Amino acid sequence: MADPCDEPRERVIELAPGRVARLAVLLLAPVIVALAVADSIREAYYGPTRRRMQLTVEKQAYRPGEEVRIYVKITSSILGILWETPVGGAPVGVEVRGRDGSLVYVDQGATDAQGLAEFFFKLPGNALNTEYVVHAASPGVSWEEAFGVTRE
Amino acid sequence: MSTVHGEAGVAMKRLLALTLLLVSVSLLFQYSPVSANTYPITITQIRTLDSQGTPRSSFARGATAVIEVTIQAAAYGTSVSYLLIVEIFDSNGIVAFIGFVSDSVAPAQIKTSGAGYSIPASAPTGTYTARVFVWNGWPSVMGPSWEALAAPGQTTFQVT
Repeated sequence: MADPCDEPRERVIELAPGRVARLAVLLLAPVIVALAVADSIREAYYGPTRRRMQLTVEKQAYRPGEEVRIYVKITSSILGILWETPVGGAPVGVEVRGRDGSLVYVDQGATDAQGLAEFFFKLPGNALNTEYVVHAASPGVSWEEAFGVTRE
Repeated sequence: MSTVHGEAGVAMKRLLALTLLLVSVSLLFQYSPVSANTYPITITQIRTLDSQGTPRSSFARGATAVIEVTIQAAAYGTSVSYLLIVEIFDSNGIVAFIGFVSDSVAPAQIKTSGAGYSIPASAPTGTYTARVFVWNGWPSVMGPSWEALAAPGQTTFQVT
């Protein structure tokens, strides 16, 4: 004698995977395409959009005379953090100032194919025992990060 | 039943192919502005002069080195406001001087400006490097609106 629960179970297993997959593709694909196309057209006509910059200073504290290394990564996102791609060839401007506004270092570079740009400079031996701020900018995005100089 | 599955499969494949095609085209659109980095200003010449305006490549400590920069705007477009920065690195690679000037340049116009660096008597001797940048403003001020208006330029001079 057959189990009365067998038939409904089979139906559920047969229907669910195919329909869910079709529904997912039919609903998500047009949304993804629409977002991607809209974002790209906006970027093509109005300049860089939805770019993200990661600015990293190698260390939080340096001693006078040490080399400060600054890393910049620029990515472009179409679906937030779900779809990020590196932006190569983007110009990057870097400006480092002391807390008193004094200019310490400027530089200009461009990101490589991985979206990375690296900057480095030597602190003078008489660098002030204070906090410095790195300002980095590229069309469509900017960021700032601080580091300190200690004589101890 | 198998016919329905077959048709659905073909439809899904077509939809996926169309999605991939459109995404590829959109990515091409997305990267075209970045790869086409054309600057509105060109640094045409960087010279080092003494305080009398005579071109020199070697300076004694205590003297003034003038970094003269000539730029030219592109023939198209409108007048461009710019920030011209001269940064000098001493022979140890340490920033010794940063000078800047703000101005504007009309299409096709050529402009020359200079920054004077008084070399301290205690400055290290050797090869110094002057780097020149032309931006639309400071990154700290312009933020995401910052733009480089020219490819950077540089020259070297000796300090004896």
